[in-house]
Amino acid sequence: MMKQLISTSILLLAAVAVSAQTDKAEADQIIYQILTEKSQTENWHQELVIDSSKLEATPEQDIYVVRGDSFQIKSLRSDFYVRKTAGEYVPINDGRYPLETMVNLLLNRVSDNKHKLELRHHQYGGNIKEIVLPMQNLFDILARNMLLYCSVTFIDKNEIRAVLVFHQKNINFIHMLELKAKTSKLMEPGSTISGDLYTNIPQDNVNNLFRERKKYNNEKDYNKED
Amino acid sequence: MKRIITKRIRLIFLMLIASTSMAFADGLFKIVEGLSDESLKATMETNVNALMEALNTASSQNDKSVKLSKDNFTNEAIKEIGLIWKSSAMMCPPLNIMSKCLKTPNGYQVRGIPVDLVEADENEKRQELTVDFLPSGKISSVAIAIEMHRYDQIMAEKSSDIDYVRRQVIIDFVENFRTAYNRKDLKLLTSVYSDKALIITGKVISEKPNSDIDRMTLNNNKVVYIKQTKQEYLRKLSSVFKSTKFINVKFEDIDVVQHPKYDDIYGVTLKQYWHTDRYQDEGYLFLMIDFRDADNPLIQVRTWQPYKNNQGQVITQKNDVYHLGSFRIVR
Repeated sequence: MMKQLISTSILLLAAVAVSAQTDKAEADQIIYQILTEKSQTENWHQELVIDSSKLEATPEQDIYVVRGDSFQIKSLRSDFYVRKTAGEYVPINDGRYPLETMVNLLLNRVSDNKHKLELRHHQYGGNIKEIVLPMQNLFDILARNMLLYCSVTFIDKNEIRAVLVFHQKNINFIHMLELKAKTSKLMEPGSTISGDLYTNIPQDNVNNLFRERKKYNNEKDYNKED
Repeated sequence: MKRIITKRIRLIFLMLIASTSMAFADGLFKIVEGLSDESLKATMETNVNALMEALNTASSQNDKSVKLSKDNFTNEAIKEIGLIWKSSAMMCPPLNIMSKCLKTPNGYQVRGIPVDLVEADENEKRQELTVDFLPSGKISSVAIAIEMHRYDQIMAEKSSDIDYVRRQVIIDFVENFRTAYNRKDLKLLTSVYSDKALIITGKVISEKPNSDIDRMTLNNNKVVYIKQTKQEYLRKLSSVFKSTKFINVKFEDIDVVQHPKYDDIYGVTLKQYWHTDRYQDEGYLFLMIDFRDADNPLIQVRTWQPYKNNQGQVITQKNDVYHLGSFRIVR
């Protein structure tokens, strides 16, 4: 019971990490401590509800995308992929569909996810700490109170790269992971997905992440060869 | 006549059987291009034929695993094939395969070995294997080739995503920078300013009005700009840190712009609210951030311009704030 209470309070802390009482340095430390705890966490997943109005066929037979929302840019989305098998829609976890499988893994749609994460956690003060944890722990700790969005940014037969964002809507901050994996190892249980983790990035004070550069009078300076 | 036809059919049938059994005996797989070492070529052909035979045997006997010899395969390859087999049993169609051998950084590779997935739907049944070899010819990896071109359209729409990550890393950097002022963390601030940083601070100077018009328009304020080195700026900041009980800095309206010529240089414009137990102000901050070392970004330029004068009048509009085009980069 006590363990459960502690666990719950840790999760709450994670959710309010960048509130007025906690600054970036402390919040980064809290996340680091939670993620490096050795205890095994629950295999938590968001309930799989397929809304047929959000199903969209893909060029692949029996493969559908379940349309979700986008966050900040068009391609950072909560869409995931399913296969219609015997009238049921099952999230894809299949080596022949690496992009779809990667998206489902990152959005916590794969029920039997045994992958490991090797992360470089970029903390306040320029500290970069290594974290190794079961991938499922990340979702158990962060996904309950946050919305997940991902985008596969590169894929070939050797490597697949993606960005995963956890968004805390109420306080409006994100945790961001830039990840890569070997395409051929995506189906291997216990294989590693590695990358960089940036935590507690506020979004409420951002006016324009992609501000268009204005044309200034001294425009020629930009193009001058130095 | 009938006897001749029967004889011919029998002959064709016998020839077919003979050719099939010869194919199995001699191996269906041949390397016809890309490798001149005959001995190595023979080893690789033997190993691929061993793979095909093992897959066919396991498939025909409904085996739960594929029996592979360490003479032909590395341990890793045996493990890989075992995993593939678990999710999709397969067999090799009786085809002659004439393959091209490719040189890779770790050995060799052949592609396009057809296999039929036993339990797949008809239109997904035929797949191709890619086989990697050690320089000795032993099989080091086997994978089902994926038709990557089907992702071309999806990936074509994603050019902005990598830049998205960089821009969020900038917001992360800016938040660390803000936190450093609130924590009076001179060590962090020393590390994020380039040693050659250009630091410009605006200051409102009140001038005695010279005429009635000046009095009427209250146009008696001038902003003068003071240029400082990193050392000068941090020395003054250090004394502010010592003389104040607390500092509360807030950033609002953050805009991020990439330099049009140097894609690792970004400009950040924001509104800064500075509040201490002794003093407070509002102003526009411009930072030119150099991301050549992504783990250790450096501020090359910091400018601060007051937002309002002592009478509460706005004296700097957002359009007047320093920007990337205000500075010439010399590399």
